[in-house]
Amino acid sequence: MANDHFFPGDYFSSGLSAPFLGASYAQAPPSRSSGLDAAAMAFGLPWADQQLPGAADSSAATTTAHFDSALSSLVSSPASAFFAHGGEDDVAIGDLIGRLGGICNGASANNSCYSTPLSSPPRGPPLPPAAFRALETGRLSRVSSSKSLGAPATALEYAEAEASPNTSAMPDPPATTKGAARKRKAPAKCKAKAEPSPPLPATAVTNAIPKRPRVTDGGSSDENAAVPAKVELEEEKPEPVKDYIHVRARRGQATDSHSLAERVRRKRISERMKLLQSLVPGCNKITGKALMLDEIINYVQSLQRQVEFLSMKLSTMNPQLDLDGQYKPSKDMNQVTMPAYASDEPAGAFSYASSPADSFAMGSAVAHHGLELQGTFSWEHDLQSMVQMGGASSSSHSQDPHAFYGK
Amino acid sequence: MASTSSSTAVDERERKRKRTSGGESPAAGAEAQPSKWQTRREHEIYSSKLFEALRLVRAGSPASSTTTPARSRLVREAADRALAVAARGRSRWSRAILASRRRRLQAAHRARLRAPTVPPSRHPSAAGTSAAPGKASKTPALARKAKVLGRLVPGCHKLPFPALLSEASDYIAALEMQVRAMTALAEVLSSVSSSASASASGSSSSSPPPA
Repeated sequence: MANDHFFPGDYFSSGLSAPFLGASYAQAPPSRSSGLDAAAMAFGLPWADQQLPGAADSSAATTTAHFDSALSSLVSSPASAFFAHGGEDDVAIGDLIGRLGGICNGASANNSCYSTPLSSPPRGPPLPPAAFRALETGRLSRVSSSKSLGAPATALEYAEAEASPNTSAMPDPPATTKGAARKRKAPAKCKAKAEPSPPLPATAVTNAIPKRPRVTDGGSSDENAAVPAKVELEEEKPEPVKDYIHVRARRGQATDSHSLAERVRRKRISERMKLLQSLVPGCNKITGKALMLDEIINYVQSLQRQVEFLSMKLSTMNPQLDLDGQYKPSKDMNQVTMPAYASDEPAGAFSYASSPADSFAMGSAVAHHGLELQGTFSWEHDLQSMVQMGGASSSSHSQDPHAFYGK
Repeated sequence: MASTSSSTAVDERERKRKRTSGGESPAAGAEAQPSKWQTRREHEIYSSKLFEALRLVRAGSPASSTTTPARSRLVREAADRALAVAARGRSRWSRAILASRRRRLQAAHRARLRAPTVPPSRHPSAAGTSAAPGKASKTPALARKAKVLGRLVPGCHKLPFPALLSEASDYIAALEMQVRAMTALAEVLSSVSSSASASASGSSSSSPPPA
């Protein structure tokens, strides 16, 4: 089964966990013990290669089971052995992280979440070395303190500390551990979320992974507390990348609110831009705010120019409106209202169209007000002639104008 | 004439239908949505208001008392006011239009309009006046365009970007309706007047109305 490819039980029991741990570093970690490097080279590559092909199956439960078994085995035999060493702090950390990272990678690859966002095998192995590097910067104190507590407690508290929300569970000063916390959280989130939603940890991991090469140590503000927000960033991959570039502060709370507010603001702006895209013709192909703004500005200017032109046209036609301004509108308005709005014949007459959609509005309005403006008989004549030209139910209209101009 | 008017009506109908389907996207907010301007009811309301405004303009300035450009300006302002009234004060630009009419003199308004209209034409060329000449003008480009847009939409020159976008969408929808209404009105009037002239020349129908 694919599980065997990822977590071969014989690897655990055979005591080869040390090289297996090192095997998670496909790339040679910088300034690590050479023995681990050799083992990494030996085991890392085939192990990394086997990740993706087996991405089709293997439930999360088995992954978790393997993870637990691996963790326990790690904790029990080699970890304790490693932790017992005096100056092997970083090696132990690196092994643990590599273990967690490797299992997380396996989990994510198992659930075929790697293929969609990243689809590149070398992404898996870089996780532990980067985590390793980040860890060694800020976490040595913690490991050394935990070493006194005991190896099993260390590994378990390590994983569980990340499983709980970061802000509450991190006793360390936030300044020093942002980079490390980010890396640690990613694999822990893998573990925590492996059961409920397999894609989530993968997305967390894959979100973390492309950002690691970009952000060296400080810009992990998003990932620290906004993991659910980070998960929803998965759909918009270039956007979190931009977030990382801009947001460089190390204090978790401030950048969280900032980044969240930024995200909300950006979403609002994109909504409005989409609405504008539907309004402005010919903007379906245009992407980018600057070009869209150009189009919007052009369109608004053209509309305003059209209004200017039409107002000039109407001003020249205005004298034509009162050919005969003696008509008294007051008493005939009521009579005008009902027929004008009740039927769409005037509109049909005016527009010469069978189904006037907006000419109806124009026609009714004109019929409402225009009877007083036009010369009465000229209007009536025009109306009648147009109705006859329109053709439909002219009889009803031939009566109405007479009613309009009635006594 | 029949073909043009019918084609225009058909086009306007299609455009209204298309705009209605496209404008009903959920841009929910406290203010009115731009899809409000695409309903027939709104079109009727505006047409009647426009007609009233034109009547007032015509009554206010008897024929040949004002020159054509001044009259067209009056007509345009009346149309804009009618549009702002049709907006029922729910949008910032409509309030700005009505406020400007009420408070400021026309001359002062025109003088204020002269100044902002000049820079937008200069913007593509003189990019270094506001921003630092040395640094990349990529970042202020959006801000510059937003400023230009803010000057185009009345009363929105100091608005933050998202609010500016929503105001602009509402304003664009309202302007489209205004153009449609004025086009229809002009068409009706021209057709009526042409047929009136034809009928007047053709027959002697100039009898006085029955009292």
